[in-house]
Amino acid sequence: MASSSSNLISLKTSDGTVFKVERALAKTMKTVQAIIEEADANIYMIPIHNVFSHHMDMIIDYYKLSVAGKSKEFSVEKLDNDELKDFLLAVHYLNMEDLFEVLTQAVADRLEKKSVGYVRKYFGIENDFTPEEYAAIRKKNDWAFKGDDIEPEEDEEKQEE
Amino acid sequence: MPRRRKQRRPPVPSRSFAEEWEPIITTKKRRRRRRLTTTTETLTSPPLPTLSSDIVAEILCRLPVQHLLKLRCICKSWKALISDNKFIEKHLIMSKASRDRHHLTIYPRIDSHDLELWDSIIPTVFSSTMSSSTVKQTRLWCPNVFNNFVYLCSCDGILCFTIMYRSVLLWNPSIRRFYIYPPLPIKDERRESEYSFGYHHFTQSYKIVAVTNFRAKRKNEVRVYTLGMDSWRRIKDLPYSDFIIRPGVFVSGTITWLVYDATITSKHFIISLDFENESYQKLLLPNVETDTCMLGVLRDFLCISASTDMFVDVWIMKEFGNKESWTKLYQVPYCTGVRGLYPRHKALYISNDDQLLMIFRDSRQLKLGVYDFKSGTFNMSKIESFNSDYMDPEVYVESLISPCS
Repeated sequence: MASSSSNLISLKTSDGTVFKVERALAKTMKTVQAIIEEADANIYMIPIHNVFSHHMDMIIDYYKLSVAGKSKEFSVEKLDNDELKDFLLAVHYLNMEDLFEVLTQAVADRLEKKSVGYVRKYFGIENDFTPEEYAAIRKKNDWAFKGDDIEPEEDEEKQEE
Repeated sequence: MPRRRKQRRPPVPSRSFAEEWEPIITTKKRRRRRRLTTTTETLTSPPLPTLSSDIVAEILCRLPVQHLLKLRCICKSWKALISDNKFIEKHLIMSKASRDRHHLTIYPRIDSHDLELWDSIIPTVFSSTMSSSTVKQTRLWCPNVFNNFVYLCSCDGILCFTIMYRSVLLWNPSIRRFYIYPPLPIKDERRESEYSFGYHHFTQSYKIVAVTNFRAKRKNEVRVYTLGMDSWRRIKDLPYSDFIIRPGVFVSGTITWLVYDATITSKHFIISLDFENESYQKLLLPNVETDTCMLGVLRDFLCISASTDMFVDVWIMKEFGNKESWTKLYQVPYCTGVRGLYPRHKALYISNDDQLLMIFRDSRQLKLGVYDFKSGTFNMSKIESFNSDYMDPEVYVESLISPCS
């Protein structure tokens, strides 16, 4: 069992895996840091809900790269959209500022130039405008929907059929 | 060791969880803890939770303006978010830190034509210039107003044009909104004025500064228009009597002009108007051996580009107002060559990795240059297809800020 004077903190993910991480890494997780600071008793193991072992693997990768000054080499390209969203939520829960910024930027990069329909599907949002309201908003910024590198909207695609 | 139950303060404001934890004592039986309802157990579970609004804001503030304008039609709460002042401020901060959100705009000064602006994003400018190929530009949609625009300055994504030395137009090209402000309350309409634009942090308001020259009386009257108010307010006259050619730059909470003292020293000096107390300060240039200087701003520092025959020296004032803090950043190896028209070489923009973008104007040519101090490389390119006398190019940042009063 790790004692509080050791340099390792035990974190237990939602799927039951225990990771022994350096105190410095645990410090980048403000959620975990708050737990450590509040507890009087020796901390043996901190459960981190909403975080799975595959998230921790990536978090540890990022930490190792940033300690070596190579944080720009960290990439989430291999994750699909849902996996990225899932990871973002985990990092948000842990309140890790730097990695959160990296991930929100990664999501923004994926959404740039995509159609409204694509973005709506990605965030799972219902359109709560009336058809008239929607048409008015579209019309007002119609120019924003045009551009060589802009993905066409679904309704525009349908009209071409 | 006694067990203690502790109420834990939620460390993340947007996710409050009432769960308690206790140290794990080595027993075989595990206690079942109440889990948050918005979690997934495995990757194969049905739909992932919706991202909370603070996460959505963090993502959206990194998107280009054109995209955000489209996303206003996603749903009502997104439309409200994108118009919210706090979001707009956050977006501006992210834009200013990103090379991708900066644009270079130039316009040919053809007196009898309408306003015609040509634009490219900074990453394209850098990559074309580094590979010495022509920088391609796209024509910007421009407000359909009368012609004869003269000098241009900008702040926070809003371009400020002086129209025919009389009135002022504010325009945000990213959101395609513009506004022509009321004329100055000056009886003689032939008076010539030039306009500058900046932001007053303390009152969180944008201000237009108008300098009107009265040659016979040897004075410059100064008036300020605060966006949100509806009139020009006169302040103290400028401590300088000659006509000011170029608009001032906005830097460090001031509007700052480069002026020429023809009477006593025959040198350039700097006048700065502080928005905070509406007072003026005179500043000296760094010790440059040349008279051909251009004023600019680099990364929030006042900047002087001083051209000699063989070099352009780029200086910044590290501490605004302190003459001793002038620091020579770079010496760019650009030969002016044959003495043609007054060279107007200027440092425009510096990237996060210290690559400097400059324009070079002599005779009738306009060239761009990127100077990379670390590698010592210097590459140049031309703007495509122009053959006229350009006004000073301007670098502006994308923003959602409205130019209207």
